[in-house]
Amino acid sequence: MIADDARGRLAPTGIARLLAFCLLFFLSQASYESLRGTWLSKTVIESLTVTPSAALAAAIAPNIGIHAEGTRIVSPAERLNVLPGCEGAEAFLLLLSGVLCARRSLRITLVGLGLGGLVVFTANIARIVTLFFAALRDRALFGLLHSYLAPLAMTGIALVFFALWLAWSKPDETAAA
Amino acid sequence: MRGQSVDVIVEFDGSAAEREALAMRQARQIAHDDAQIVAARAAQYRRTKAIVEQSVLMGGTAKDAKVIRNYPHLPMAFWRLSSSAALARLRDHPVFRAVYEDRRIYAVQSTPSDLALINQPATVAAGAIGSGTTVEVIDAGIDLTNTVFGTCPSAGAPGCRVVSDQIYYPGTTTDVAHGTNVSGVVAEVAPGTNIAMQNIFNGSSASSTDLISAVDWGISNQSTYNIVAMNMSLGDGGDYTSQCASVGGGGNPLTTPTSLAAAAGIQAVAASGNNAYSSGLNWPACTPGVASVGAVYASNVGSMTYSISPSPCTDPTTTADQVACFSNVASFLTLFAPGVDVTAAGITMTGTSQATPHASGAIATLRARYPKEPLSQALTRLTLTGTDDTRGSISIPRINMLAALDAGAQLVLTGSGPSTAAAGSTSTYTLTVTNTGPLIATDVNVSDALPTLATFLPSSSSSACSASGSTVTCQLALLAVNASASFTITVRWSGSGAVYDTASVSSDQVDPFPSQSSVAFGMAPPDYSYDNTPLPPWSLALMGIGIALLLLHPSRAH
Repeated sequence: MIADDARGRLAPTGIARLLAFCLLFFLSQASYESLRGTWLSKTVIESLTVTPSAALAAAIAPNIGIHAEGTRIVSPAERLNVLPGCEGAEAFLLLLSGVLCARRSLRITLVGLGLGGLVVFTANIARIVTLFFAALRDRALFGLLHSYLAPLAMTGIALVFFALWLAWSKPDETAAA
Repeated sequence: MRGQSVDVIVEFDGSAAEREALAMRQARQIAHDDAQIVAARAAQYRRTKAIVEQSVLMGGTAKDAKVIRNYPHLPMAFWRLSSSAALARLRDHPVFRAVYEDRRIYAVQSTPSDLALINQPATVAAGAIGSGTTVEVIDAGIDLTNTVFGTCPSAGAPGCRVVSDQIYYPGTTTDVAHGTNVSGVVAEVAPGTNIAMQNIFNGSSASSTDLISAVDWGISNQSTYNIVAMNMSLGDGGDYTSQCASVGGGGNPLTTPTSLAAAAGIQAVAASGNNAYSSGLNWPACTPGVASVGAVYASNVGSMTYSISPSPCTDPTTTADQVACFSNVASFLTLFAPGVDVTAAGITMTGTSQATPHASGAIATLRARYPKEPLSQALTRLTLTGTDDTRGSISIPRINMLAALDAGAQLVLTGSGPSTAAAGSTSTYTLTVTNTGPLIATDVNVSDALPTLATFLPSSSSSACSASGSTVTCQLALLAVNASASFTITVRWSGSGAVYDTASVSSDQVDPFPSQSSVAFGMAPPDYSYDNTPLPPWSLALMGIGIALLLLHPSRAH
C-alpha cells in the first residue's frame, strides 16, 4: 500500500495514512488504559487536572471554600468527582496520533505535540470548571453542558488547533511515514 | 527552749497570692502559672514575709529569732528561734500557718531491661521523646563527663543535656553514681528532655530545708527551662500508711511546695522506698499530690535476695511485672515502673530510685506531646493506661508509655440547623460538643463549613466563633470529661433554596471514635461523577473523523 513519490522515495497513500492514524490511536489508547491506577494515571488526574481545576474555580469564586480533595473538587455545597477518563486523555491521544501521522519534521512534530497537549488539557480544565459551576448553580444547564456543549467545544478546539498546526507547518519532504 | 536554739521551717498564709494567681490564670486562659504569675506570687510572699518579720523580728532588733534562709517562691522560710517568746510571737501572728522540723532524708539506697517493658521504644518511634522539656533531678550529683548527657564541659554548655548543676555543699563526697544513674534513666526514657541537677546532699544525707530550696528553685526556673517533672529518688525510710498530712509528729513541710510546683506546671515524683513495707511509703512519696513510684521486674532474673532495712527480703523466682520484694507498696501508691538491674549512663542499679525516673521521663514525654493539657492529665494518662501489677491485695498500674501517649478524649458533636434558606432572612446553627472522656480535651475546635448562600453574623453568634472564608471556627481551650459546650452560629442568607451544612470537632487528643465528631444539617447534594467516557463517543468519533479528513486533505497533508 505504498508508492514512490515524486522524488522516487516511499510515501504513504491516503489509505495507509488513515490506517496508521487509527492503529496509532488504538495502540496509544490501549497503552494508557493499561496504566490506569498507576502513579502516572493518578498524577494526570489529581495533579494535572483536579488541582489546577480547583485552583481556577477557587480563584473565580474565592469565598465559597472550593478546594481539591484527591480526585474531587469540593465546596460546602457541591462535590465533583473526576474519575479516570475525565482528564481529556482520549482527545489528546487522537491529536497525538494525527500529529505523528502528518509527516512533518521532528521539530514541528514536537511543537504540535507540546502545544496540542497544552490546548487539550487547558480546554478540559475549562470544561471541568464550567461543569462544576453549572452543577453548583443550575443542574439543568449541567446536563446540557455535560452531554452536548462541552464535548462539542472540546472537539472544535482540538480540530481548529490541528488545522492551524497543519496550515502553519510544511510537510517534511525527507521523512517517510 | 531557753539556752538553746531550734531551726524550723515556717509556713505563712499564701491564700492572697493564690487568689491573685487564680485570677491571672483565668484571665489568660492558661492551665499553669507562667513566669509573670510566679513573679506575682513571689512579690505577694515578699510582702507577707516583710509584715511577719517586722512584727516577730521587731524590725531586726530581736535577738531571739532570725531568718536563716528564705524561699522566695514559697510562702515559707527557714528560721532559727532561740526563745519560747520568739516562738509565741511567731505563732500568734495572724499570717502564721505552721512550723515543720528539719528532717534528714537519704538517697533511696540501691542494691547490687526495662525500657521495652514500658513500651518506650515504640513511643520514641512515634516521635515522642520529650523535646523541649526539662526534668529537675533532686539527688546526689551528676557525672557530666558521661556521654549519655551529651558533650558537657559544663552544665548549660551547647550540646550538653544538663542545663543546670547546682551543688549545695561543694567539697563533700556524695553518691554521684546514684544521681548519674537516676539522671541517665530520665535521659534514656525521654531522649529529648534535659536534666537540671539539684545536688542537695551533704555526705550521705540531705535535709528537708534543702529539699524545699530545690523545689523553690524549680518553680523560679520553670519557665526558663520548661521544667515539667521533679524527680526525687530519695526518702526518710518512714512507714507512712496514708497520704501524709504530717510527718515525724509535725506537719508535712512539702505539701505546700509541691502544690505550688504543680501550679507552676511541675509534677513531683518520688520513690516509694526500699523497705519492703506492704502498706506504707517513705516521705516525701507519701505527700499528697506527689506521684509515688514502686519497683517491678522487667524480666526473669532468677532468684534475688536484697539486703535492705529493716530486714532482708528474697524473691525466690522472678518474672516481668512481678513487684520486687524490696519495693514499698500501699493502696495510695501511684505507679509501678522497672526498678531491678536498671542500667543507665553505664551504671547498673536496683531500687525504687531507678523506677522513679522512668515515671519522670514518661511525664516529660507526655508533657512535650500535650503541652496544653493540665499537668494532672499526664499522671491520669499513665494510671489510666498502665498494666495492673499486684502484690497481695494491692493492684497498681505499671507504666505503658505508648498506651499513655495514645489515650484520648471522645468528642461527640450534636446540634441543629436549617435545611432551607430564604433570601434576606437569618438562621441559627446550634452546635454542642460533649467530651465523653476518658481524658480532658484541650484546644477544642468546632469547624462549620457554611452553605454557599450563608454569610456569618459575628454579632449574633457565640463570641468564641469566628469566620475565615466560608468556614466558621469555634474554639474552647479546655473541655472537662463529661462536660459539654454549646455554640450558636447565626447566618444571613443571600439566596433561597435547600442548604447543606457540615460541622466537625477536633482537639489535641486522639479521638477513639471520630465518626461521632461530625454532624450535618440539610440534605447532602448528590455527588456528581463522570463515567469513564466523559467525552461522549460521538464527540470522540467526530474528532477522529475530523483529524483523519484533515490528514487526507491534499492541500494540508502534502
